[in-house]
Amino acid sequence: MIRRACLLLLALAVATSAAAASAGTAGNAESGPGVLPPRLEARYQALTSELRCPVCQNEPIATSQAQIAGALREIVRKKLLAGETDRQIKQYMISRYGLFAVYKPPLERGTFLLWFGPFILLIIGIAVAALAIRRRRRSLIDSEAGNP
Amino acid sequence: MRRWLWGLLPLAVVVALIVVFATRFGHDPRYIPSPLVHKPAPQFSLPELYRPEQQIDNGTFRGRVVLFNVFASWCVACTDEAPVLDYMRHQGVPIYGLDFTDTRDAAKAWLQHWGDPYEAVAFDHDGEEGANWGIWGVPETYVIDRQGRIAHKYTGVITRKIADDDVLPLVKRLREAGQ
Repeated sequence: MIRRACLLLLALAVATSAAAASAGTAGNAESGPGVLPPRLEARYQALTSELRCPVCQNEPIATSQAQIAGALREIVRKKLLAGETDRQIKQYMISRYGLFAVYKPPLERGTFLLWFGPFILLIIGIAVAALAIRRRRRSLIDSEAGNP
Repeated sequence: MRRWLWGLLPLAVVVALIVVFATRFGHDPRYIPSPLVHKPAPQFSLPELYRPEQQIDNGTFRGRVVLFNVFASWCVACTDEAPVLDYMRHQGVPIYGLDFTDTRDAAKAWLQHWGDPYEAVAFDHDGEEGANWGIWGVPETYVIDRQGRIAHKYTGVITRKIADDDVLPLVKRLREAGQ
């Protein structure tokens, strides 16, 4: 199953590599996880699929074939081996590539609307609907009062 | 009166959308502003391409306004940029190269073919130092000021027009500011 997914990704990568060549994609990036003790392997997999490849922007660095993704995987691996926490590693990526680098940006002032914007719009929508319904009901009552 | 105001609401929404589309769209969604701009350049140390025993590091640039240009022999767009880099070098701008995820032989052959505008080339075989600089594509060019800060970062090919309108004036300004 995983093998099949990998093959599919590879096929996709090959299909798009011509277009992406000038942006720095080449097919020889290492996708192997390198040497990691099993207890770090799971964190490595999780982190590299949460970090976004800066070149091929809809891929995590875990699966990207771009040169830069290979280098970033290697950096994540070394930082894990050096004992850094997931938070530190994500913070490092943000310091180099901005909030763009993480698929799930942290909640802070600049990302407030991103997190709560939809809920704010929902509340506004409910308020508008409630007002409209109330007004309509009142005008119905008024017209009934006018025509006994 | 109130009903009339409510009637204007859809118009207001449309105007708001037009403003949003006009200002927010037209940007290249692939463009990522670098958080490193206006910050000190990342610490690095890499062997020189032609002289592996020599190290290129932050000290190499110190006290000068320089361009640090990321390239690679596999980078197709870099061939377009080569003559512009040569032009800027002839305008008196020191340019250093960062050869990103490459092999020495391929890079040397490429430079021989397309021209070598660099004072020296830092050779980043595995790309990790480049990643530490926040590189996401090739070519990219950092403008480094006298204090070793990143004054600006250009992503993609610097055309002759960008060089004349943007890069050269910026270098001139930084030189005058750092006197």
